Formats: sequence, structure tokens, C-alpha cells
Amino acid sequence: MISSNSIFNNLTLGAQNQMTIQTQRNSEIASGRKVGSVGENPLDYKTSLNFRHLLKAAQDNTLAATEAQGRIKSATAALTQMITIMQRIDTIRVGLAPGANLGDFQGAKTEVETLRANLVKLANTQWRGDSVFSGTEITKLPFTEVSAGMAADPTTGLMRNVVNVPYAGNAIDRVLVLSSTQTMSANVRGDAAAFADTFASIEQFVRGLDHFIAGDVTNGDAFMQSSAAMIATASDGLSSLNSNLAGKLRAADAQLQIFQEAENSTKSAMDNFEGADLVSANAALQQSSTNLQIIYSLVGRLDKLSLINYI
Amino acid sequence: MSAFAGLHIASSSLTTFQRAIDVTSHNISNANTAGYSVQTAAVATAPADNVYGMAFGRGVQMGSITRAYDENIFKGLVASDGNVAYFTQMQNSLKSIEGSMGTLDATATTQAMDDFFAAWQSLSHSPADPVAQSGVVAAAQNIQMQVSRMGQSIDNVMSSIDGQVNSMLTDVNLQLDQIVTLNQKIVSAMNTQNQQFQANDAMDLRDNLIRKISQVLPITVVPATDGSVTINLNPPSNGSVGLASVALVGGTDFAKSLSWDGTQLSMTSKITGNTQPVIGFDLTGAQTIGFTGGGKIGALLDMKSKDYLTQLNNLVSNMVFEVNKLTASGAGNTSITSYASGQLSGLNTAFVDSAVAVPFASQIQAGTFNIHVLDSLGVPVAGSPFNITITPGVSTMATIAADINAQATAAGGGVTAAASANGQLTINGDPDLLNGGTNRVIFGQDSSNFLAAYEMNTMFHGSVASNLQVDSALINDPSRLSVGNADPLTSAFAVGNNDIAVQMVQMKDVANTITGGNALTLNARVEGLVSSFGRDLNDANTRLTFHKAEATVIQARRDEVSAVNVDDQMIKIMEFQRSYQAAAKLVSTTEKMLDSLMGLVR
Repeated sequence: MISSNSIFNNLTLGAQNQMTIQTQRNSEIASGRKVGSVGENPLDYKTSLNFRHLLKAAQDNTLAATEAQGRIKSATAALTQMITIMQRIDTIRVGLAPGANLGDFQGAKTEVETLRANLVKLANTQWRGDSVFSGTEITKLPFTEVSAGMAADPTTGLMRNVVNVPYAGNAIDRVLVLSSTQTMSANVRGDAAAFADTFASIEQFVRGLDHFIAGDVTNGDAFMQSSAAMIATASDGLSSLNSNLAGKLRAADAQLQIFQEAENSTKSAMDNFEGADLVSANAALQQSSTNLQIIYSLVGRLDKLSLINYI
Repeated sequence: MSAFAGLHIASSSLTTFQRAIDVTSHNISNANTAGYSVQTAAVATAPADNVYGMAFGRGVQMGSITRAYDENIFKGLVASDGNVAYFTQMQNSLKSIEGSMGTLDATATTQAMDDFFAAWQSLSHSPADPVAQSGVVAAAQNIQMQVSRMGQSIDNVMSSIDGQVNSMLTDVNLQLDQIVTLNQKIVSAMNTQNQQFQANDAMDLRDNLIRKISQVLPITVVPATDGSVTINLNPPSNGSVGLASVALVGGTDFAKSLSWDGTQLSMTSKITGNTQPVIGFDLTGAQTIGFTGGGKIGALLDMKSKDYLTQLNNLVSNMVFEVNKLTASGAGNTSITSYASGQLSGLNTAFVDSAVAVPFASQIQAGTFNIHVLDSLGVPVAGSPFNITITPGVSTMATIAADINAQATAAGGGVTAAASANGQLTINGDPDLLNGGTNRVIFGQDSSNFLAAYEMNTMFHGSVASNLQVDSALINDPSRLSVGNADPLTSAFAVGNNDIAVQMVQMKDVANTITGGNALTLNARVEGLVSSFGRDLNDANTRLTFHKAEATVIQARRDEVSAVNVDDQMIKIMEFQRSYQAAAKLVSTTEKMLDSLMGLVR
């Protein structure tokens, strides 16, 4: 015989089930995801974790490629300016045509020394506080102007001040980690011949100017001539380094694009996978609400439906 | 036949229907009493009197008072109670841990692990950047916090199991005794006339106790013809282990006592005092004998055999050792002049690869490591690096210290090592007499795993979730963090060297195992732990829903048979009331007849 207890029990279980549906669907709508915790659906949750690993890796790799890009661009900008300065120095050299007077030589020397100081600053370019051209000695300035003091020229015996610009970095490339399986050397080092050639050519130019200023036109002319070839070699070397960096930059750009695409596609796939079916959730909520109303109505009716009310 | 016979017949009717109304009233009163079974008063004709060969009716009498009961339904309820209680308990235990496993909004250890490797990748770009260094140390601390939280959460549940089981067994033992007492009452009442009321109510009480026990332990009920029951603890589902079904209650004769000592559930006979094991675990937590599933204790003991903590500790062990192997052989910005081993080998005569108290001692293998010594200006001293050989079964802290000192002395000094009586190795840079200050010491190229095993210059200390710590010196000075290597030949070291950081990032995708089992990446270990936990919780949720529905159906079946339908009882009351009124009328009529008769006499 069906007792009122069993009817109440069935209705209570039904109400509990409907409330569970409401909780789950409300959670789906609130979070926008079909799964929130591992207990709800362990397989989907694990897949979501995999998506997150991939997305995090793609985001980190994008940052790494951006870092590489920035580092290379800062080096490229420095080298480009150095090439421009070398062109200016060569222009000064060419401008000192026969007939230049003492004032012209002194003015040229002043300008060249200023440009050398600027070259040193550019060769000491830093990216995020790290020297770009010093290998792994990132906390050191790779180049400094060192005055050797007044000394006799080894060829002519003219007393003059020799300025050297030695390299203080090391010969180890900085390695950037683009991903857990990819690394790249994202710089050129100051021990490349182009840097030494640059500073040597300038010193040779100044040597020539010193001899002109001292009235030694013959040696001045000879040193000036040799500095022309050295300036050309150094400029070519700097251009070559810049080309090398341009190649690295293109590689970094390509990697960045790949990583960004990976990030976007992973994000999109993850959203598609995790996204709640809001229409379905809403429909289920509506249906569940209706069911609950029916259950409550039945409970009310059942409460009134008793023989005790009639006797 | 006497003229008073009518009165006697009416009297039997009044008495019988009074009792019938009592039974019905009892039913209505207990309509909402849990476990109450409706009782039915069966009215029967009283045996006739035989007077001079003629039978004269003697009225009515109470035939029987029966309890509406279905044995199969009751057995179904017992089984269903056990299942619902098992999965409810399992669900509760697992939900206590669920928080530490994270959600998709905050994936806890999973996210911490990702952040850790991301921080290393960032540091590899800017090895001398204090922000990047602090980022790695903070990420390591976050891992430690998440792992510790997860471990604590699991441990809290596991360590509460023994207390819960003992508390439940205290109740069960009392209930078993009460069932024996009720069995005795039931048998006695059933053998005594007019005692069926008591027998029925005692049976309901006993059924309630049995259902309570079934919510704690997996049992089977075997009814006897005398009204008593025997209660057996279910045998294991795997016939190859454990015991056969064993009796906890033997009818009216005995109830056994159960006890739990943390590894073994035992049953003691109160008659003989003999104790026999029912369920047990070995030292690894694996179940060796006993039943499977059923009731809260079944769930708690199954929970005890879950290997979440083992999985977590395996993750921690593999992470600590692999990370420490890398950081031990490197250096950061800070010039470190002195090291002391974080692990002690015990006596300085013990072989370093067999020190029992050192968690990773067994990972030490034949190999070498370098000690690079740089003066206070960062220039390698003469003789650097010193190459130290580790030979399993031969090397002790004392021989290692002696080897270091011998090489340093031969090169004109630079570093001094010492092994203390408790087996701690200390390595100190010598004073830099030329430049002032103290020589810097950098470890490198350790192919023996000695440095990682003895926590020299390592990022982590400890080996399991409960004792995992980030090196405190590193927390205070993140620039100590090993990011790069010294040159293996020249000992030259540049702060921009990021070899260690590069290897650390690469390690993210490398599967390894030092704890046995399949080689897995650290991320795969976290995912494995979280998803195996998720499977258990999801299974508990799903099966609990099913068993609750099943229980409702069985309960409905039980209600159909045994529950009190108040309407039905009200109708019965009316019937009995009318019968009672009719009997009263009979008395009245008989009295009038007697009155008339007495009037004739007057």
C-alpha cells in the first residue's frame, strides 16, 4: 500500500535532484565554464589543465620572443647609429682637403674625439640594465676609453696621447630561452672584429690629425690615408654585424608570430572546450524551476489530502 | 446455556475490539516513527462451547497481532544503507581534500608549477635582474605553500580516520550487545501468549539497530525461525584474501567486540576472549586482508589505502631532486664564500651513498664535481677547479673533506673543507691575502649527485610535502640563486651566464623518476594526482546519487509494506469502534432481557 510517507520521500528526493541541477547550472552560467572543479568531470578537468599548460607555455614563449626582439632591436639601433657616426667621421676625413689649415685640423680632432666618445656609449648600450655587447658579462661596461698618456709615436717619435678602447666583456654568447626546446643567441658580442676595427680606425685618424697639427704633413697624410681604409673596413664590419642582427631579428619576428598564433589558437580551443552551453544551461534551469514548482505544489496538495480533514 | 452467555460474548467482543483499537492507536501514534512496522490485529472467532452435543458460540477473540514485514525488502535496505553510507562518507572525506586540489579559476599546485618554470624562463633572459631572481624564489615558495597545503589537507583526513573508526566501533559494539538482548526478548515474547506486541516492537527496534550498524560496516542478516537473527560481517569481495564471512552476533548467544589499532580491525569473542583479525594494512598502506566496501568504516578504510599522499610526495621528491641537481652546480650574483651541507651523513665514517637519514643518498653515483675558487676580485685562483671524486661505498664526508684540502694545499690554498663528527661537510673559501676579503666558492659539473643529495647550494630542503622548504638564505638574498655555471676548465664565471636557468626551463618537459614507477614530467605528476583524485570524487558523487535513488525506491517498497497509512488506520478505527459499539449494544440488550426476566420473577 502506498503511504503518504513514501510519496513525501519521493517528492523530497525529486526536489533535491532539481536543486542539484539548479546549483550545477547556476555555477555553469556564473563561471561561463561547463566544468569548474575536478570532481565534476575529471577527464574534462585534466584536458583543461593540459590546455592551461599549453597556453601558459605559449604566453611565456611569446614574452621570450618579444624579449629577444627588444634585445636585438636595441643592438641594431646602436649599430645603425655607430655606422652613421663612422660615415660622419669619413666625411670629416674627406673634408680635410689639401689646404686645410691648423684650425680645421684642430676642429676635426675635437669632433672626432666627441664622436668616439659617442661610439663608446653606443657600444655600451644596455637593454633592461644588461650590457648588450658584453657577452655574458652583462653587468660590465664592455668598452671604456683608456688614455695611455703622452708617449712617443712608435713610427715618428711625435709625443701624443694615445686613447685605447679595450673590450671588457667575454666571448660567451647570451642565450635566450624561447621555449623549453628552443634557444637562440640574441646578440652580437663586442669582441667582434668590427668593434676593435672601429676604435682602431678612429685612433689612426686622430694620429694623422695630431701629425698635421704638429706640422708633420707627410706622416699626417700617410696616417690619414691608412685611416681611410681602416674606417671603410670598420664600417663594413659594423654593417655586417647589423645584417647578422637583422637575420636574428627576422627569426625572432617569425618565432613571435608562431608563438602568438599558438597562444591565440590554444586560447580559442580552450574557450571552446571549456565554455558552458549557456542556452542549454538556461533551458535546464527553466525546466528545473518548473519541476520544483510542481513538486512544491504537490507537497501542498498532499498535505491537505488526508482523511483526518474530513472526519 | 446460561442467560449470561450473551453478556460473556459481548464482553469478549468489547475486550477484543478494545485491543484492536489499541493496536490501531499504536499504529497511528507511530506513523512517523522511523523503522516502525504497521501492526495488524487479526480478530478470530472464539472456540465454541459444546453443551450436550450442541455447539454454542463464545464470541470473538484476538487471533494475532502481526507486523507487516518483508524479509527481502529489509535485506535490501540493509545493503542500500551500507552503500549510501559508504559513498556519503567517501564523498565527505574527498571533499575535505578537494579545496587543496584547486579549481579551473585557481589551479593551485598545477599553476604554481607552471609559474615556477615561467619565472625561470624570465630569469634566463635577465640573469642579474633582482626582480627576476625574486620571482623565481617567490614561485618556489608558492610551490612549497601549495604542496604543503595539499599534503596537510590529505594528512588531516588520513590522520582523522583512526579516531573516527574507533568512535564508530564504540557505538557498534554497544549496538551488537543490544541486538543480542533484543533477540532474547523477542524469542521469549514469541513463546509467551499475549506478548506479540512486545515482540513486534522489539523487532522494529532491532531492525533499526541493524540498519544503523549497516551504515557503519558491511553486514548480512540471517533470520532464525525463533525470531532471533545472526549478523555476519561480509567476506572480502576478493576470495583470495581475508577471511570468510564471520558472525558478529550469534542469535541469543553472543555478540563479539570489534577494535581498531590503526592497522588492523580485530574481532574479539566475549566468551572465549579469542581475537582474530578481520581487516589489515601493511606498512605501505596496502590492504592485506579483509572486506571491501560497505558502510562508513568501509569507506574510511578504503580512504586510508588511497595513495594521494604517496603521489604528492613522489612529485615533491622528483621535483626537489631534479631542481637541486641543477642549482647545486651553479652560482648567482652573490659571492658565496662558505657552504655547509643541509643533510648530515651521521658518523663521518659512514659512506655518503648509504646514509639512512639522507633521503637522496641512494641517488649518489660514481662521478665527480668541481669546486671553483675565485679570489675576491672574481679571478680564479691557481689550481681551480678542484675536481672531487665520489665513489659509492668508499667516499665518506671525511674522505671528501680530505680530498678537497689535499688538492687545495697542493695548489697553494684557496679553500678549506671540514667534516664534523655528525657528518656535516663545510667548505670555506680561504682569506684572499692579496686583495683582501675571502675567496669565492662555486660548485659545478656534479655528475655524482652528491651536492644535491646533501643539500649543498640547493634551492630546496626536504624531500616530501611535509618537510619541503625553500632555502632560507635564498629567501633572504635571491641573488644567491644559481643561474649560471663556472667554466669547467678555467673556473671563469660571468653573472650573465644562464646555463642553469636554460636547463631548468628545459627540464619542464623532461620525464624523470627517482621514486620508481614510470618516468613522468613534473606537470604530468601533478595532473596525475589531481585527476586520480577527481576520478575518485566523481565516482563517489555519481554512485552516491545512484545509491540514494536506489535507497529511495527500496524505502518506498518498504513503506508500501510496512509504513502506517493513517487513512487506512482511521478506517480501521471506525470499523473497530462500530464493532465495539455493537458489542456495547449487545450488553445493553442483554441487560434489558435480564431486566425483563427479573420483572417476570417479581
